[in-house]
Amino acid sequence: MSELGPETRALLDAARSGDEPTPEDHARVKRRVWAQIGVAVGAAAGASAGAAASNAGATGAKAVAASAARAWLTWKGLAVVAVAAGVGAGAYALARAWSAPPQSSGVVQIASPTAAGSTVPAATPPADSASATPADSTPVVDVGQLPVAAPPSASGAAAAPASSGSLQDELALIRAADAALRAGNPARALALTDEHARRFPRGALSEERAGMRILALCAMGNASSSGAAAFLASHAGSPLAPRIRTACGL
Amino acid sequence: MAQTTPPVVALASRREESTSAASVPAFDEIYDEHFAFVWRSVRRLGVADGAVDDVVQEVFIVVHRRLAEFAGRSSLRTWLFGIALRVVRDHRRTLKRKSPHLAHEHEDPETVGDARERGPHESTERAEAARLVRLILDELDDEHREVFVMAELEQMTVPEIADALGENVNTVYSRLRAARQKFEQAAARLRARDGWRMR
Repeated sequence: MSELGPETRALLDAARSGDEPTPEDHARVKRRVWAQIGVAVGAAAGASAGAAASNAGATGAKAVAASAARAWLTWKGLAVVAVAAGVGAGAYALARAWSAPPQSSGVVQIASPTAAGSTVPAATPPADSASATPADSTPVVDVGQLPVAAPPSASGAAAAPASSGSLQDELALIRAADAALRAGNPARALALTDEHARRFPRGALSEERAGMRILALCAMGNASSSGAAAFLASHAGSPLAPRIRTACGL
Repeated sequence: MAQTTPPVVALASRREESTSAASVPAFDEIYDEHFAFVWRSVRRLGVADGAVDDVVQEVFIVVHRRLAEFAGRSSLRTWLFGIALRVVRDHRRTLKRKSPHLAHEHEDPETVGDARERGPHESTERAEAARLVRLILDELDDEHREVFVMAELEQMTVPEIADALGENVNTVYSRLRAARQKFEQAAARLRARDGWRMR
């Protein structure tokens, strides 16, 4: 202890509580962490699910997928879905949405509860496989059109960030852009990413926006000016990276 | 927070691993309880304001990925600090590679704005003291900075520090002694230069 003088001690005492984060810091980083967990884990699950996709409940990735779905759905405010078709299927569809090219038939997209209006809270606890709808009878639903509901209260993550409303808006835009891309309308996707940039310049999904934008530009034949290489350099681990490499010929 | 049903996000994938599931807290609880600790530590270990978000995020991503490995061998704080340490080291190494001079002057300009908005929350005197301390810490070698932050700012015990670093206790003692001397010298230089006084 003798190495430090009294003045330095006083400085340290004062400094000790001077680096605290604000509640905003806490919530902002939390959104980012949860977004990344949802996307990244979901992508991993999707990648390993392989071709036996429609049989989501039987994949070995189920446990991982379940946790991905919980994280994603809770924090993205999309608690709607997971339940009906088995959480694995939901996570799988999410994973596909981000990481894989579209396949039109025989693939389970997220099952939408038929009666789910946009304000219906998701009362059913997730992961209740007993109530699962058989996967192959579920309707194919565009992820961009999913109804949005409050997170399930039993999730253990009761304190949703105050700005979850805007996060939902962000997510809706990104998903719509993704849907436009998959529908072969990159111009529309580009417009949607522009709108996202305008409304959420520092949004939690800025990285996804950047990735979508690059995908759109590459789809329009502007690979060289898309910034794909820079994106891949700084976001090598992004779940969008494989798609970008493919779409932009890198 | 504590009474909610535990393993939600993180634990589904690690059930089968035998380590007493009850002793491992759920990921969201870890985040809520230890965010401030991780945040402080990351700043004090020399990450510039504009990059704190990214680094803290990365720490928790690693925590999420490796939660299964946390077997209660060390305290959760110690384990978290060990992860934060490694992520910060990587971050600083990357920055140095990009710009061999002062790491923290070359942050991603896109993220700097976020940090600036923090201002009003930090009561000025403490924030100023914290800023000075970070300035001084920045002059220390990595290994001195690390033990100093743990011992003097987080007030961890030497055995805890040894655990977080994977070093033996004697090494930590001698490193800490050296770190205090270096810190004191750097503080004295700063006082001489800027006429800074604490009270």
